[in-house]
Amino acid sequence: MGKHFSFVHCADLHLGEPFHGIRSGDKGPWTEAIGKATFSAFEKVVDIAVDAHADAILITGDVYNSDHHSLAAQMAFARELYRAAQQGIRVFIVHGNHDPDEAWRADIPLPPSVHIFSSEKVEAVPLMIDGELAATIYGISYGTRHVSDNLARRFERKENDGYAIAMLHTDMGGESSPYAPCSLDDLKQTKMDYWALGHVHARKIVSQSPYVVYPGNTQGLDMAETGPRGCYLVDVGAYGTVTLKFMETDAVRWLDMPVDIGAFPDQEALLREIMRQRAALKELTGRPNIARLILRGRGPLHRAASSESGQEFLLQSLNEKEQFRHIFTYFSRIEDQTKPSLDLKERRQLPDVMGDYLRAYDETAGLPKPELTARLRQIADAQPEMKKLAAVPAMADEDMFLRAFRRSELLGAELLAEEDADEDH
Amino acid sequence: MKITDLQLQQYGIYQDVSWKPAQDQLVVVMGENESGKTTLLNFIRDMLFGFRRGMWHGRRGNMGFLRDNGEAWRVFRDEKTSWFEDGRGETYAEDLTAVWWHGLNRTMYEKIFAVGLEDLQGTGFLSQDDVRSRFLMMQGGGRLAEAKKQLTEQMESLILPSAQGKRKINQLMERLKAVDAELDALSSQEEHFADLQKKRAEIRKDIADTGARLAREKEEDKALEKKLGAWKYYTRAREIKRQLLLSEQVKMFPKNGKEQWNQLMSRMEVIHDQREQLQKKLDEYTPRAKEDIIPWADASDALEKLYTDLGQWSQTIEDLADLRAEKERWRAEFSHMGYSLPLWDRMISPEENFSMVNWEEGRKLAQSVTVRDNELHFWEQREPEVEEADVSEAESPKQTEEEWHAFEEKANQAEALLHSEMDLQEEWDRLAQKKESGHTFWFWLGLAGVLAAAGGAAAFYTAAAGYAALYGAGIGAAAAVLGFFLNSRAAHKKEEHVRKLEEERRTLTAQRETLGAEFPIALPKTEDDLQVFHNALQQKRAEFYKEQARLQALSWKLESLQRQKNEHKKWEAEGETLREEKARVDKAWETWLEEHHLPKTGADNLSALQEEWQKLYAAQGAGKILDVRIEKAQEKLDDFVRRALAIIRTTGTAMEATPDTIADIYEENRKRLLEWQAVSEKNRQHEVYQKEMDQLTAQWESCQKSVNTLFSLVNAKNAEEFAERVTAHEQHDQLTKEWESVRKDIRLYAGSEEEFNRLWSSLESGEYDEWMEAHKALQDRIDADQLHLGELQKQQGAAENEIYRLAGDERITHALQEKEEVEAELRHSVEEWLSRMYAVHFLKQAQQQYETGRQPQIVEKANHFLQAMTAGRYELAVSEDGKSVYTTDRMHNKKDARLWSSGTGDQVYLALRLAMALAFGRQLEPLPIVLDDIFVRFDEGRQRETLRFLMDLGKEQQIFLFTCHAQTMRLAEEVGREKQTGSFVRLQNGKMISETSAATMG
Repeated sequence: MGKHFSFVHCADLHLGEPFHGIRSGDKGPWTEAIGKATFSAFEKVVDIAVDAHADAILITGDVYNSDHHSLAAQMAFARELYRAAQQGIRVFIVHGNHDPDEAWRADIPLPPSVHIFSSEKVEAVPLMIDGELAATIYGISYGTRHVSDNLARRFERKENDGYAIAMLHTDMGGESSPYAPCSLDDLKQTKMDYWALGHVHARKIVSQSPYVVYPGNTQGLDMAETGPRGCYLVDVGAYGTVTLKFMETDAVRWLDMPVDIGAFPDQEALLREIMRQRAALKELTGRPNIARLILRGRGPLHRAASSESGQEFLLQSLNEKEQFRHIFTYFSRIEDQTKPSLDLKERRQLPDVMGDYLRAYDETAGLPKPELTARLRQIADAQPEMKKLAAVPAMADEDMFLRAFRRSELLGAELLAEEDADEDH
Repeated sequence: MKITDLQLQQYGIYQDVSWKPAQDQLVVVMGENESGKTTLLNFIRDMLFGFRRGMWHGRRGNMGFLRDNGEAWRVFRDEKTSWFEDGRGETYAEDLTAVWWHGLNRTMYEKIFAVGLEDLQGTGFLSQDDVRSRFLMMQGGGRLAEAKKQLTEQMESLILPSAQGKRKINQLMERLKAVDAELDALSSQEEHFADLQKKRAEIRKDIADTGARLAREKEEDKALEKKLGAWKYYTRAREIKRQLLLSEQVKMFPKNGKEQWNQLMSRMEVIHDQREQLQKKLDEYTPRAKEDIIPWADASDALEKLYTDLGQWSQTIEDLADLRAEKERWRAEFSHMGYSLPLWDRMISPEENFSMVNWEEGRKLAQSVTVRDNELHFWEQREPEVEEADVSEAESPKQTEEEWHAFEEKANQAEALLHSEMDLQEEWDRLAQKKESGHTFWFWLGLAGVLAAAGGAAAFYTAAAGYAALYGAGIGAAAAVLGFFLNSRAAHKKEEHVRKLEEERRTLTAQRETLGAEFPIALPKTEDDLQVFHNALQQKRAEFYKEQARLQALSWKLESLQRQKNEHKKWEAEGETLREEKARVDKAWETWLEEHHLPKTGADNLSALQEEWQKLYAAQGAGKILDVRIEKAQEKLDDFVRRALAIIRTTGTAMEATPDTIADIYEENRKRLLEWQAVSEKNRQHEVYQKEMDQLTAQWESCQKSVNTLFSLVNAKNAEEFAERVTAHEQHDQLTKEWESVRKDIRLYAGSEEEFNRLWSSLESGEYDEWMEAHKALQDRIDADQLHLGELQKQQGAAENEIYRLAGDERITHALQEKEEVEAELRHSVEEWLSRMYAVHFLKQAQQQYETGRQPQIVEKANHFLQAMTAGRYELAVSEDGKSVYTTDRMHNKKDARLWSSGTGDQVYLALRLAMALAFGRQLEPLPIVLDDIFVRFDEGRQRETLRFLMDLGKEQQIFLFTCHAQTMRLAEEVGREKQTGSFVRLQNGKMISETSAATMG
C-alpha cells in the first residue's frame, strides 16, 4: 500500500508571452487583462494546488519564452513558487525548448522546495509525505533550445520507488522533431506510472495505462488556441487509483463567433445580433474573451463584411462599447466567409473585362503550389515598395502571399462590377 | 430568346391588344407619330425588365417568349406585382432575367439591343463608355484603368516606397522599430538583475568588514585621546615652569625701572604719532623733478627756435609740394614730347639721359657719309662699256706665212727657171741670130727685180702687207742686181754662153719639170703660159694676203675686248673699295648715334636731329633744375624734420614731425611750465617736512637707546620678553603656587600615583606630536571608513531599490504585447497591400488581353455587316491604338468618323451595334433587337441595301424595325417581296390595323 498524494500537472505556461494576432487597437482595461493573462493563469494553478492541498506541482517545460528575455516573467514565476513553498507544496520543473537550461539568466534565487531537473541526465527525486516515500519523480530538462535525442529512452525506473512519475517536454510522435521526439511505445517501455508531458498546447490524455498526459497550455495565446485552457489536478490513491481533473486556468478565453449575415438588412441589425450573442458568451465563460467574428452566408452586408472599411467599422462599433468592461469580449478580427453577390463562376465565362480579369487570375491560380508561391514572390518583388517591406517580419510567410493572392480575385472583380451595380439604380 | 406574343392588357394607349410577332423574319412596324410605336417598344422593355420606378401605375400585360434552350416562358407584370411562369405552369416571383442574363439590366439592354436614331447620330454612341467597355471593348481599358487607379490609391494609402513615406505601413514599421528598440533595451533586465544581486551580496560583505575595522580604530583612538587630554594640563605646567625660570634669570631690576619704561614708552608713542602724521604728509606727495613734467626741458631752446621757424617750414612744405607737382607736370610733358619730335616719335622716359653730344664729330661723320655717297654715285656713273664680240673666227690661219713663202719661192724658182730657160733660149736665139741688143734678159730681169722690190717695200710701208712684202722687196732687189750683173756679162761671153746656154737650158728644163711635178699650179712651160701662171699666182697671193689681213683684224679686235674687260675689272675693284669705305662711314655714323642715344636717321638729317635734340636737352635741363630745386627744398625740410624729431623724441611720443605737432608741443610746453611752477612750490614744502622728520627720527633713536639699556638690565631681547620677565619677576610667588596646583590636577586626571608618574614621564618624553599624528591618522581613517560605510549603505539601498524596481517592472510584458499587436497590424496591412497589388497585376493582364484579343472580333463582324449593307463599298477597321474605327472605300481611302457622311455613319454604327448585340447573344442568349426609325438619313438606295441585309439577318435573329415613314415601309415591302421574307405591321392609335407577311404578299 502506498501513500495517498495529489499533484497538479501543468505545462507551457509561456509567462509574459504576448497574445498573437491582435491588431493594435484602443487601450483600456483589456490591455491590462491581456498583459497579465499568462501570469494570472499560473497564479490560478498555484491557487488550485493550495486549495486542493496538493503535495506537488509538476511543470513540464516552457515556463516562459527565453527569446523575450523577460525578467518580469521570471520574477512572476519566482513569486508564485515562493507562495507555493509557503504552503509546503513542492515544485518540480523540467525545462522545455522555450526555456532551456541555458536561458535562465536572471539568477533569481528560488525556494529550496523547488527542484529543477538537470539537462545532463535523468534525475530521480523522491516525493516524501509524512516521512514516507509516496512517489519518485523522474525528469530531465532541455539544455538547449533544440534536443533531437530521444530523451524518453534515457528514463529508467528504479526499484521500490513508489508511484513513478516521469516529466518530459516532448513532441511525441514527431519523428524528426527537434523537440526530444519519442513514441508512445518508448514511454510505455519505461514502465512509469504517469508521464507528465509538455510542449503540445492542446490538452490530451494520450494514454491511461500508463497515464500519458499533455495538460495543454494554461492560457490560450492566439486565435488558434480557442476554448478552455488549464491544468490537471491528479489524485493518486493509496492503491494506485488515479483521478484526473481538468481545471480551467485561462484568464482570457479565445473564441470564434460565427454569424450568418443573410438575415440582416443593415449593419445596425447585424451589430445588435452580435451584441446579443456576446452577452450570452460572457455568461458562458465567466471571463474576458477575445473573439474572432466569422461572417458567413450571402446577403446585402457582403460588401461591408468583405471590405476593409466595412470591417473596420464593425470592429470599432463592437469594441468601442466594450473597452471599459472588466469582463469584456474583444473582437480581434473579422473573418469574411460571406459569399459575394457576384457569380464568379459565371462571370469567368463572360467576354467582358471581368471575365478577362478572372481568367488572368485563373492562369496564375492554376499553377502548382511551389510554382505559384514562386510566381507570387516574383510579382511582388517587381514592386518598388517591396524594398521597404523587406523589413517586415511577416514577409517570409508564404501563406500571407497566398491569402493576399486569393483575396485579389474578389477585390478586382468587385471593383470591375461596381459599374454594373451603379447602373442598377 | 424570341418573343412569341405580346398581351397589352392595359398599357398607354393600348387596351387589350394582343400581337404575335414573327420570330424568323424581319418585323417591320410602321406607325405615324402618336400611333403607339414607342409605347410598344417600351412595353417590350418593361416586360423584360419590369416597370421603371414610379411608372407602374395602371399598367399591366404579359409577354410570351421562347428561350434559346427551347423553354417557353411567360412574364406577367400587373402594376406592382410580377411573376414568371414556365411551360409547366410553375411561377417564379423573382426577376429571372437578371439571373439568366448575368445582370443585364434595362439600361444595358436599351443601349445594346434597342437602337434609336439618337444612338446612331455621330460618335455620341461611341462615347458611352459603359457600352464600349462591356461590348465594344473600346474603353474597357478605361474601366480597367479606373479599377487600377482605385486600387493603386488604396495601395498608396498603405505604403509609399519613399523613405519619407508617412503611410500606414511606414508608420507601423517605425512603431515596430521603436518597440524592438525598447525590447532590446529591456531584454538586458534579466542579466542586470543577476548582476545586481551579485553586487548586493558584495556590498553586504564590504559593509560588515568596514564596520569591524571602524570599531577597532575607535578603540585605539580612545586610548590616544586620554594621553592627549592630559597634554593640556601638562603644557600649562610647562608654561608656568618656564616663567618661573625666567623670573629666576632677573637678578637686579631698578625700582623705577617700570616708570622709566612707561615714560619712554609714552615719549616714543608721541614721537611715533608725530612721525606717522609727518610720514602721511610726506607720503601724500612725492617731489617731482622738472624733467618729469617737462621731459623736453633740455630741448626747450631748440623748441623755441623751431617754433619761430614754423612759418618758414610750412612755406618749405608748400614749395616742395608745388615743385613736385611741377615735376609731375614736367614728366608728363617730357614723356609726350617725343611724339612732337618727328625723329624720335615715341614716348620718352624721363629717366632717359640726354647727355652732351659732340656735334662737331657728328658733323664730320655726316660729311664723310655725304662724300662717300657722292663718290659712290659718280663711280656708278663711270662704269666702262664692254663690247659684245664673236671670237669664233679666231681660228688658226689656213696657210702659214712660211708655207706661203715656200710656195712663192717655188713659184719664183719655177719662174726663174722658166725665165732662165727663156733667157737661155733668147740668148741662144740672139746668139744664133746675132741680132744683138744691149738689153738682155738679165736687164729686164733686174728691172723687174727693182719693181718687185719697190712694190714690196711700198706694200710694207702702206701696211698692206707684212714682212713678207719686205722680203719680197729684198728678193726683188737682189734679182735686179743679179739681172743687171748677168746682162753685162752676157754681152761678153756670148759664145761660150751659147754652148753653156744649151747645157744650162736642158738642166733648167729638167729642174723645171721636177719642180712642176710637186707644184699645185701648172707651171708655165712657155712665156705665154707665164701670164696665166702669174695670174694664178697672183690670185693665190691675193687670197693669202686677204686671209692674212682678216686674221690681223681679228687679232686686233680681241686685243681691244681684253682691254675693255680689264678696264671694267679695275672699275669694279674701285667700287668695292668705295663701298667698304661707305659702310665704314655709315657704321661710324650709326655708332655715333647709338653712343649718344639718338634715334636712327640719315646723316643728311643731322641738322634736324641736332635741333630736336636741343629741344629735348633743354627740356631735360629744365627737369634737372626742378630736381635740384626739389632736392634743396627737401634738404631744408629734412632739416626742419630732424630738428622737430629731436624735440619729439624728448617728449617720448611717436608723433609725426609736422609744424602742427611742433605747435602743439610748444603749446604743451607752455602749459607744463605753468604746472612746473606749482610743483616746485610743493617740492619746497616737502623738503621742510623731510627736515622735521629727520629731527623726529633722531629723537626716536635716542629713546630706543634708553629702551635697550633697560632690556639689557633684564636680559631681554625685545619688549615682549622684557614685559614677560618683569611680570614673572613680580609674580614669582604666584607662579610657584600655580605650578603645584597644576601638578595636582594631572595627578587627579591620572587617577593614581603610578599612572601619574607613567603619564608624566610619557608627557615629558614629548611624544605628543606622534600621538597627535597617530590620532589624526586614525581620525582620517575613521572618517574615510565612515564615509565608505555610508556610501556602501547608499549603494546597497540603490541596488535593493533597483532589484525591487526590476522585480515589479512589467514594461517588457506590455512591450511584447505591443510588438505583437503592431506586427499583426503590419501583417494585416501588408496583406491588404499585397492583395491589391495582385489585383492590379491581373487587371493589367486583363487589359492586355482586351487590347489584343476581343476588340477586333466585334469590329470584324461589324465590317462584315457593313460590307453586306453597302454591297462591299466600305470596309471597317479599328485604329491601331484601338480607340477609334475608320472605313476604307474601294479606292483604299481611309476615313475616320469625322469624314463619314451621315448616312455612312449611321450604317457603320448600325453594323457595330448589330455586331455587338450578336456577340452578346452568343455569350448569353440572343435577345430581340429593336431598331427605331434608324433610316431617317438614308437615301433610298442605302435604305434598300440595309433592308436587304436586315431581311437576311432577321431570318435567324428576331429583329423589330420601327418606322414612321410610309416610304420606308414601302421600300421594306418591296425588298421583302424580292427576298421572300419579312413581316409588316401598321399601327394606328394603339391598334394594329394591318399585318402582312412577305410570304403572303406574293
